[in-house]
Amino acid sequence: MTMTESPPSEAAESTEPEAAVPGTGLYDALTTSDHKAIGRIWLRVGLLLLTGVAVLGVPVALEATSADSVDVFDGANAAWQMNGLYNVALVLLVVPALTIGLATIVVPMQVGSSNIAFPRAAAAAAWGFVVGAAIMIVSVFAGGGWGALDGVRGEEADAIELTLLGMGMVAASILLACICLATTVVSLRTPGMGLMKTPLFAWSVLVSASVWILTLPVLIANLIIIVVDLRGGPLVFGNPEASTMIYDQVHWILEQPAVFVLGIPVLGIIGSIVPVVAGTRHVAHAGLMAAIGAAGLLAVGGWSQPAFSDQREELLFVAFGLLAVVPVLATLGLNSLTLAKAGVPAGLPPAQLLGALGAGLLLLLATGAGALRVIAPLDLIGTDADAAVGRLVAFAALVGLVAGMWFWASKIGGHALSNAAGLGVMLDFIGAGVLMGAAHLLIGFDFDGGLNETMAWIVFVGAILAVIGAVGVVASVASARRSDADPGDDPWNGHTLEWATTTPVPPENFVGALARVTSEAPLLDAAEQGDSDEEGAPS
Amino acid sequence: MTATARLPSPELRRPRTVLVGTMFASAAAAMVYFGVLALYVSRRAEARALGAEWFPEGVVELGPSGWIFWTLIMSSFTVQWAVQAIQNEDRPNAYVALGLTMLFGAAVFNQMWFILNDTGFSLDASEAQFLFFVLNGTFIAFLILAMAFLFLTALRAMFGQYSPRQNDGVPAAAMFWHTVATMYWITWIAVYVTK
Amino acid sequence: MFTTGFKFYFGLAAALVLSAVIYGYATGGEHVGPITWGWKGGVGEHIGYTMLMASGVVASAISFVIVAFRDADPSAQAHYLGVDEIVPTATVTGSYWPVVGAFGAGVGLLGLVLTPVLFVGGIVICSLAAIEWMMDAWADRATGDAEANAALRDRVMAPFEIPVAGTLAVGVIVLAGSRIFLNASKNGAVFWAGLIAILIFGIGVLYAAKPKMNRNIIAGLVLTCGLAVIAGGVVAGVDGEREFHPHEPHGEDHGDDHAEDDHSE
Repeated sequence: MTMTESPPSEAAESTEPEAAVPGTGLYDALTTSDHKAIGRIWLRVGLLLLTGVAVLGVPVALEATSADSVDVFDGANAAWQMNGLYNVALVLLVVPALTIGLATIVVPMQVGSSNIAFPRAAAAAAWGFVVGAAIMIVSVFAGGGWGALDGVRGEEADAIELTLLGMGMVAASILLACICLATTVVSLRTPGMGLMKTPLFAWSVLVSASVWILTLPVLIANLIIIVVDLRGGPLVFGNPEASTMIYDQVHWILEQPAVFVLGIPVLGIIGSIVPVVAGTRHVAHAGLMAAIGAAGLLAVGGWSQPAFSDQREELLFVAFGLLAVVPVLATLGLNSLTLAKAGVPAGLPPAQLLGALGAGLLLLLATGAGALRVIAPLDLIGTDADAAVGRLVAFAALVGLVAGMWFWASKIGGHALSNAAGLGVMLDFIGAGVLMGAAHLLIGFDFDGGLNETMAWIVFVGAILAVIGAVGVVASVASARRSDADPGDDPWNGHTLEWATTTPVPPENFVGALARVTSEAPLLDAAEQGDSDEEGAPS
Repeated sequence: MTATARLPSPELRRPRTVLVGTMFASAAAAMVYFGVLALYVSRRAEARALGAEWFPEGVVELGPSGWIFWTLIMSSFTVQWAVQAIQNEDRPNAYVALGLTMLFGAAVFNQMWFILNDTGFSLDASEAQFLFFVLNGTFIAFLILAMAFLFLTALRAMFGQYSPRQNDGVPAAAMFWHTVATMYWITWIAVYVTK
Repeated sequence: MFTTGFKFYFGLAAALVLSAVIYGYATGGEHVGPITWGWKGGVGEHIGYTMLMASGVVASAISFVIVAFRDADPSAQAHYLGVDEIVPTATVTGSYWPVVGAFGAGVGLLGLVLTPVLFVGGIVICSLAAIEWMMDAWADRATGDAEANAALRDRVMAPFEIPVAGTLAVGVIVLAGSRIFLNASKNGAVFWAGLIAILIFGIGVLYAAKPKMNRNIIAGLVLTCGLAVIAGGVVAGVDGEREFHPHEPHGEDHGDDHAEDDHSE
């Protein structure tokens, strides 16, 4: 008995574990229920995936330059699988991780809540995403993927099942995160903040979460059917011998209209950045909310599944494709009016403004390419134009999200990010998106005279730019973490409640009770109230 | 005992958070189910358009599936009874109502199992039989989830949680239960009535 | 009367139902089929029609619930509770169980494809995480004192947690490890077994030598080893077992202590 007892001094010493700084470190990340820490998990994973997927894009693009002479992946089948992984990872891993990360950190603060709804479920969603993404990626490299061009051999069938199950886990995790975010916006708003007074980014997150709630379950249903078929069905839906069948059945999630959901939060980010840079209210907050809502309607997917019945030349698909341009145009137009009302600031623009406007233009290009794609005489459906729309939306989302990261940097990590680096990174991503999107679209038109070969090389250049951009973002974040500079509580004179917090943000977000909100820009109200009090005060 | 008696009462919770979250979760669950159903009816329509037989005549009977239909209707009433009882702080009635709902759930599970055995279908025999299995299997999975949700809620109620002002768990479980019941009612018409 | 949330979701629902009807007629719907859900006449292409109509019905259900809650506006919630101002969000304590649940779900998915034992293991982990999660949620609102709640939770759960967690950890290591050993060559299996044993021993020694070690380091080690074992299990499980060939009896000298051997060295 005495042998197992520690001397009093040692016992006293060993009972207290070394305390870690609250809110930082791996232990806190694993056990956290704070929305900011959960959001940072999503962002870190998103940046890791962004870098990996951007790097993967280079050999994928190189392989496409000349299928005969270049054989980067040791065979057409491996090349096809890696191309599939690149497409799926960009749309289903990278952009959602960054979007949910940013939203999980910013949205609760914007609506004046001390935390996200169901914080433990939000944490489970983040870790479920990590595990699902790991299973999906590892299984593709283990010979899985979404089928095989040359038929499936031996254990490849198991790996394909794992890819599909990993994809399902990723989709379920995104869904869970969407439920937490949508519930936060609906039920955790601060007193006085009706839904019409919700900041635009929070509103756009509610809209995109709602659209994902209507769309992602359909993907899960597809995956259930394919996996059950693979595990003992008549192999009607999941016949791995039928080369690209499985990929074709889930490809609708990468196509318009479903893929447009990635662009909806971008509209909210633009709407959050522009009035702050302009230092004024939006000319039409309600109009912007309506435009974002309309964008949501036109991004509801799941009804267009061409693998089963290709109706992409029918009236509704064409109408959705053509109308998708309208909300983007309306958003850009109303934001431009807000900027014009206050006048564009002189000198070097803030990186977030360049990113927001660049993202908006990329989104306009994406919906424009989508509109061209649905015009039947152009015969673009089923060509590289499919990839053009996907790349343009994904890069619009990336640029918008990076702009958001620069804008809310002090609230995300307690540090400001370099404006010069931000300008470089965003220009780089805009360039990558434009080059890849335009080149894919031109390949889709299939002009004669060797243009396709040139365009394939342009896609390759775009892929290299994407790698540079990804490394630039990671390097900027890493360098900001080493900086001792104090970014201040409200570096941009923000309008919404996240700027009413201190930097770094305390665990409960707000110290003391918030004043009752009377408009969508409560801090601007307070500033204007202060000004009028000063004017009215006796001298 | 005396020590805990001196501790402060737990703070009030926002009363709509669990319900709103359950509403979105129910929407997602319904869309998964409708995703499977859409494929079912689509492939059936294609088979019929080609003049092929979907199910052999008389194999899928309306009787047992109709019993499920009526059982779920009764369960929707009992689960609302539980909601009403807990709002009135009438715990004995709430326990009885929750227990009855779970009993109806078990009966539905049993009837569904009977249908799957009675048809003699197998998963790999044909596209129709395969989709019939997947659709009903998905329903059974959601039924089990709904029963687990109810069980959890009943357990919490028995441990003393929920009051007339803070009782979100019970209506939330009821909302999910109604969603699952609705899934079946739609399936009953789309699969069993219009074979 | 009509709240913003209702207008958005009901507008979405109306547009989707209208889209379903248009789609139905555009893709071959007949008579009044597209407006009667196929009761009289065809609805056209079924997947698109069903998904649009289902999305519309679900969005309309959301709109009715949300208008019943008056958009869950803070003032409506305060009115429901009978207080002047709505309470801020309640504090939720940190918990390992979400990450354990996610890990368990991953193990279950692997097991679904690779081996039933792993599948059952995943379900067990998920079930335990769900129970613990429920107990955490219960303890969070047991009293208004966070410390008392934590002590209450530990008093109820600790006697179960420690033995079960130890058993599970060993089970997962054994299962995932066995996949690796079965996949590796005979000498490779010895190498991997040695490496894993050294790792476990090393971590144990490290912890014994530095009991005050930063918990982040412990968490990092556990996470890295866990992910490595799972990733190794996936690759090895997918790759399959090495081939085993039974030995032919070679006479008395060799005996049959090793009934089988592999040819993968």
